Amino acid sequence: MDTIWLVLALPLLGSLLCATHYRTLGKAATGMVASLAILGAFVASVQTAYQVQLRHEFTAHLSSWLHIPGISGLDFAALADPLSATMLCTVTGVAFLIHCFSMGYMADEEDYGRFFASLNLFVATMVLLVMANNLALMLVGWGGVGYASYSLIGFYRQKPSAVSAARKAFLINVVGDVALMFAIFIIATHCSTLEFKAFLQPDKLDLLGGDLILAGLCLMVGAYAKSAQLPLHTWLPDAMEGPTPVSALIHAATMVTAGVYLMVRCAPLFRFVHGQELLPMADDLNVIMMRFGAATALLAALCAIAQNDLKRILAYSTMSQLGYMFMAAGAGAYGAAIFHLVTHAFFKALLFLTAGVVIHALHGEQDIRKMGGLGKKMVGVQLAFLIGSLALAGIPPLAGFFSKESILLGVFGDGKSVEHELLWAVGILTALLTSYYTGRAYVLTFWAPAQHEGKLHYPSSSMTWPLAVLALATVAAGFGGHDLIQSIQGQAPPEESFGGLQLTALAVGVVGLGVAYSTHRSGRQRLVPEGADPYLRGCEAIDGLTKSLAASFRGFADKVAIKLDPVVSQVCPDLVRRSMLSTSTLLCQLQSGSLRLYSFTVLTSSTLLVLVVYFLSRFISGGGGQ
Amino acid sequence: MTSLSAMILLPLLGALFCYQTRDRNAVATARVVALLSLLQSLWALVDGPRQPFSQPWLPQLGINFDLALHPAGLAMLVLTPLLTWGALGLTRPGLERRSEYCGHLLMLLAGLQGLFLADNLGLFYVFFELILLPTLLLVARWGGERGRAAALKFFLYTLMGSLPMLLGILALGFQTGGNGLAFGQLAHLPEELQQSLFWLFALAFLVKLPVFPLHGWQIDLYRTAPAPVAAVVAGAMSKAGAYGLLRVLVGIFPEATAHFAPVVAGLALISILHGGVSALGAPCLRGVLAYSSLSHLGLLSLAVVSGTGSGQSGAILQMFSHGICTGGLFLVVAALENRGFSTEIKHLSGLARSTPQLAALALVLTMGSLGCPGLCSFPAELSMLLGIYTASPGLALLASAGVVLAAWYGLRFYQGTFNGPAQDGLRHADLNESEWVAMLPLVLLCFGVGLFPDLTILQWTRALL
Repeated sequence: MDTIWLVLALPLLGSLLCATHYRTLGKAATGMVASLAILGAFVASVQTAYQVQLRHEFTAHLSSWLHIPGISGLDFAALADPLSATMLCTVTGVAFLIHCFSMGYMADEEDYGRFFASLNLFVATMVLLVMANNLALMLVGWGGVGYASYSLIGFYRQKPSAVSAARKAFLINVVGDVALMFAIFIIATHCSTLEFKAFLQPDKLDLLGGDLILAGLCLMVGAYAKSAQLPLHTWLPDAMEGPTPVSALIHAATMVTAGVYLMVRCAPLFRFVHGQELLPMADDLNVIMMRFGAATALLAALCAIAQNDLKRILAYSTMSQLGYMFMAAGAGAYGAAIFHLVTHAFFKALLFLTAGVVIHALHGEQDIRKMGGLGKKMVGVQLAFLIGSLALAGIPPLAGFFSKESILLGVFGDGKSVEHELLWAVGILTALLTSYYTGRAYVLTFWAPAQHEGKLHYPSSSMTWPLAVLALATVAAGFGGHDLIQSIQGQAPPEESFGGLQLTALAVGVVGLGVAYSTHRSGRQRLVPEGADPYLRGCEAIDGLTKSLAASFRGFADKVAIKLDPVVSQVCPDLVRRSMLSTSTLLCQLQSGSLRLYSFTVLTSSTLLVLVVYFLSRFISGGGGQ
Repeated sequence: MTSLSAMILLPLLGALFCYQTRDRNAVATARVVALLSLLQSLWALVDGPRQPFSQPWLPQLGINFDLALHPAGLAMLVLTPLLTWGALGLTRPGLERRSEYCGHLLMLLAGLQGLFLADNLGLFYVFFELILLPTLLLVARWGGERGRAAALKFFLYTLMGSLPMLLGILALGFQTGGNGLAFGQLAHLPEELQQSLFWLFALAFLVKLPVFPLHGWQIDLYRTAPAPVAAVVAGAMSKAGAYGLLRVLVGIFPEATAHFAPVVAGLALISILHGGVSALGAPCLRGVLAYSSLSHLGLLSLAVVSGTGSGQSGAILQMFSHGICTGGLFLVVAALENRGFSTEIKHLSGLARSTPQLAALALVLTMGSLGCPGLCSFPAELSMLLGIYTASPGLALLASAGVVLAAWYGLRFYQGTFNGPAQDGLRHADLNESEWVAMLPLVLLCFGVGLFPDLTILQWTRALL
């Protein structure tokens, strides 16, 4: 059995242990078991990545999984290639750090065992999603992370807002699951296999014919629901109801990137080349993907400017960065998309965990207008947040600069099409907004005059060292980009000298930060006037629309169940009763006491009976005789 | 116990024995019988008597005591004793006339085992009617004030369905001229005959499932029956209808089924949507489960009449997984009622605080029921919807609305009961050992079938095909 299965088995085992033996283990041991399980999974992932380096790619079969007549390749099997190995290492690595952080962060919680069981389960399902060698098994992991995300968003299950946020996240994810199911149906009926390596071959893709675009669209809808892209993004800001480590792991670093992973995994379908020309319909898909990515990036960044809740700012920022990744995937820069996915996992996890420390220190306060003055009291934390912010703003030499740069270059392409130039411009504008709102959050939290009183709750050492490691990774990851892109894309990225494009991106980053610093240093809370808010909050308007639709459907359902169904389900018994009643009335009238009527009735009915039996037997034997 | 007939005889004798025992021993006795019956079925599954059993009974009419294992019935043979076992484990403390109650449950078990084993249409009909009797008695006697009315309504509906079936069987009996009504001998009926007899049979199964608009009995029965009985009825007995669709309609009337498929598919589609929407609005837990059954079994019928291998193989899996989840959820309702909770959703909130273990089991079963990947309904729904998609993509799209609705009302069921602010400071007892033992197998199966559908079920059913 390959070590790759350990990556799945250890978190699963850890989850089971935490769920069932929490009471006998006690708090400290539970956290330790969960963290060690993930550490083991990380080591196994690294080992797998090493094997991939040696053997290139390989498939590990465990057992048969599901048998559907006419479909092959539905096995419980794992695919190890550069893409899945990169994802496995990132997921388990970041997850390990966040598990360690959580041991300190969640120390006062009552349901410690449930938390770690769910967190471990999340890692297991995410790993399954990444390693599955066929689309149907991937859907198991896909739905599994949806469940894990649901259970962790709703971790504080007594709190109504958390409960409804969890429900919303789950339902939107189910919509995505159904879309993915339809992608499976389309591919299965045409190609009769669901194995990635099989159906992504040109001869199989040829069989899809005109349904290629449908299959691609279904995959995209699935990815959009999971990765919070417009218009299926409304669950992500609400998901911040979960504990902060959960937001860091699931709703920033790993799960929400699953959609990007899917796009890259199915890249041949979107870049399906016929002869030399890209098929027009595949091209359509890419254009849609880029436009939606750009729109999400921009609108989410605008919305982040209007937020005052630290975690919601980071949530909209995550959405916006995912938009970048989809832009890259649409442009065919898959290596850049995965590169940004990895660096974003590091710096966004860093930002979220630091935000967690800040929120912890202020006893649960999340409003940046009520923070301030923390810079001198928590120097290390401030430094960690600064590193994360600079990476997010795209300032070299931090990882975010390189990965965002490679995306913008990929989108710009050869610069010959106006569409690409426009999308690049949107990317630059988003970068400007990004560095501004990041700077605003940083300055208001740490350097504006303090808006709070009372004693700070300082973090324990188990909470600070993961920050240090993530900060280190944020600094270092940028330099591995070239190799990563090469291994994902299969070819080296084009060598670019430092030119005007990069300079523009760098300049907007610096400008954004500068504006933020000069505006908010004094404690001023907003730059844009309040009247502009409705324009900034486009994303939230969609949320409102979804909510009112759901509410009216809910009212409709109540009416159906309480008013309509009792009527409908009474129709049949009423029919039966009415026909019985009329028959009996008729029969009563016959009971008149008249001997002549009786004899007539007996005669006619017996004749009728004989006739009926005769014709029935004729009919049946006639029917059978043919 | 080398013969398939022992699988019917054991619960039957157990039932007769139960009627004689004292009330305080009855539940324990019945549980032993259910357990033995379960072991028998498991043994039959793994390495059992594959030889059909045959004994002349009414040879003039072609009705013989023919028993055989059939892929569609195989999983149900395991599920039925398991649900009976679970239902007995959640018997309401202090229930009066327990020996009768347990006897009736075992009688129902015997009837269902016979139904899923019968290899002769006449025998099938006998068992199809036989299961009605204990159900009626259970609901009428232990179903509270409205139990009698619900039982009467159920009886009338079933009668409306099964009298035509009796006529159909007689007609077939005359037709085949006493050659026998064994399923194997009825395989190649001429198409005209199939079409003329189709509805006589279809009606019975569509009532039993039920599908819209024949579902009037269901909501009343599920609301009034003792919750453990409802678990067996919803989990196992309603599958008699599904089994009939697969075994009789597809097996004996394949051409007619294909011919009338659009009508059945239309009713099934309405059931999916109407059931889903009603489940979302239903005010009580039992109502949610009743309408969700309507919706799920609508999907099952749609998959069966899609006429595709994947649809029918998924339907076989769905019979099993729907039984696990809906049966299990009725047991959860039973556990709640045994603790004195109301089942009106608006009166419930935050029970996870006082009964975390029950909440955990309910969560798994709810997730299983709404088709969460990794749990039992997912492979079934994937396979069924694929079959429906192959037959008609548009129909699959409409049917998939049922999946989204299922997630919605499923969460309403679970969150409404167990999440939210806890209402009172009272701590209610969490699950006791007997309840754990009753429900744990269902939860484990929910995982097992979801993660490895091929190893747990499909390979056995395939071996028989």
